[in-house]
Amino acid sequence: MSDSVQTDKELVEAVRRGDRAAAGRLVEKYLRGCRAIALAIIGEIPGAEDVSQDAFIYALERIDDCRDPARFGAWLRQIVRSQAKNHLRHARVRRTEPLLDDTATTVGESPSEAAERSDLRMRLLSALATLAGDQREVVLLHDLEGWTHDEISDRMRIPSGTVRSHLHFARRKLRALLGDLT
Amino acid sequence: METDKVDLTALDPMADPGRWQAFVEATLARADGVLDARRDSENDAFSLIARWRRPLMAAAAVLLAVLVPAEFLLEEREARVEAAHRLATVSITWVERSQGPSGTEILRTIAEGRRQ
Repeated sequence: MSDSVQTDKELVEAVRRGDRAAAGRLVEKYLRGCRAIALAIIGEIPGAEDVSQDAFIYALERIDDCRDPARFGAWLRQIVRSQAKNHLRHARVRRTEPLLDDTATTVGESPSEAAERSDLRMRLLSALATLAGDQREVVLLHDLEGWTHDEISDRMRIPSGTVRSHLHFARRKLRALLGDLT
Repeated sequence: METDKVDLTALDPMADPGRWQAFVEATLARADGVLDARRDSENDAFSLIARWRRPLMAAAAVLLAVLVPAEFLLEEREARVEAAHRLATVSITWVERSQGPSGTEILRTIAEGRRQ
């Protein structure tokens, strides 16, 4: 997740000057992770995408409030968590942009393949929903987003041993629930 | 350790690259809107005033910090010059009369100096 070209501090300062390319770099760098965190909290993809997008836009609107631009990612993830919890509390789906239907077919995919993909996704999400919140976040960040134990430990502010433990129990439970799928 | 991974690729946004691309583009379009609004607001009159307010206040504070002690110093110096002038005037009178001041005159001169 480190950026050798431009640091987060430089990107945030460029965004403050109105630099669109810098905003694009931040989107590229953080949107996926934000989606995974929102997905861990909300448990459904369209809601997680709405929240991650809203959180990103909220962060850009308040970029001057980011006290430590070098830790933009941590600040953004805090916003994502807060907005995802808020989304759950209000239990309403807010479509901020007309997203494509989650069950729609992708290019080169037949309707039956799309239905199968949707079914698989639903089974995964149902299994993930049985995990504790931290376990869900850890397994999504590690096994879906490819973050290392240390990155998760640093960004979730929990000990590395706890990350490993969450990952172990989450995987064991998912395997028990999903069997051959995993 | 990597072989222990649970296969979550069905949840990967890149499982449907077109959809993810549309989502990223929608996010970027909203981000552009935020940056445009930011640029516009930075150029309006209130923002210009707000931007200058802080440096102006700082400059005013520096001026006050310099001028107030300077004013006190000048006043003190003027008082000293006045006292010296008064002493000189009294001394000239005494010299013109070719006689030293009486004890009463010395006490009165000192008392007047203290009052001022």
